[in-house]
Amino acid sequence: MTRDESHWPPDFDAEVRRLVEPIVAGARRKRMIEEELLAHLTEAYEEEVVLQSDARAARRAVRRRFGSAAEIGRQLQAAVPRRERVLFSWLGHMETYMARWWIAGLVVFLVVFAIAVPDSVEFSIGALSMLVGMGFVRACQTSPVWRATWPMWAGVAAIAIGPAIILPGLAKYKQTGEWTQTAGPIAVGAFILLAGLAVIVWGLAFRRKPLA
Amino acid sequence: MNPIHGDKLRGHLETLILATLERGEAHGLEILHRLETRGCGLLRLKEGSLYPALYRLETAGEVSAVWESEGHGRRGARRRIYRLTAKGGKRLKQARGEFEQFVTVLGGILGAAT
Repeated sequence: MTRDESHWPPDFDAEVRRLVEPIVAGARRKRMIEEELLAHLTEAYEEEVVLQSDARAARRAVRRRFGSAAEIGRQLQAAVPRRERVLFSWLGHMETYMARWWIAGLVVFLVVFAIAVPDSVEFSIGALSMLVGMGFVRACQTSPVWRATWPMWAGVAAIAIGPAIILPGLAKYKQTGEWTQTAGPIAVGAFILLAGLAVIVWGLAFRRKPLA
Repeated sequence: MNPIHGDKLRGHLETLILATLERGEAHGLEILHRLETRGCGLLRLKEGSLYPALYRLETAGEVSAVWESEGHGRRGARRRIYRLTAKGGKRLKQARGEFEQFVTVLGGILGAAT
């Protein structure tokens, strides 16, 4: 236990939230369960703190009295009426599918927009890049594989993007012979390229450490 | 006497709750205290198990529940106050009959062996 045990009232909120969050049920029911369990634990703690030697022992006694969180969670899930369980399980899946469809629709719109309105190509590429970036961050948050390999992917993306900025800059310099207009993009491209290489090297070094 | 743990109470917990509420409305912890007192301290129930049973009874319409009023004079979260409904009363009566029959039959068998 890492929390301060001396403060009052005892903070069972996080424990109750962890218990109730995975239950497939309506938000109203979950809030109701959360508040009722919280009231129970707080009151049980008030009883135990009088009987036990200190706050830590009182907390332990409350947890012992309450029972295994995993088992209680299972029982609570089973107590949710079947139609509510089915509905919210289905809605949960729908939410995921809708998010996917929404993103797919946006990508299609941007591609069509870029083709139909030639002047909007840069805007569409920028918006698509942002979408890809958001997807990348989301994947790193949710998938352990992506979390473990993100430096490599970020590095590869940077190595692809860097030259895409440098090369047109160099071509423009070759045509015009003026550094003033081309130095900026070339420097930015070079920075992205070097940053990508650095991230890959750092990622490889980072991956070796746990193995050593 | 040996304590009676939750596993042995399986299938009886809901009836025990209904019997407890027959004596008057109560919140979760009060129900547990009543069970403890009437069970002479021998009932060993994990407190968290009470709430799934209460929710099942509520869904079945055998108990009704209301949040305690705002001015409950306590700190923190509100409790829910449970009350036996007419349907719950009927189920309790039926369960008592079944349990009496169960005890009579098993008591007869077990008693005959001694």
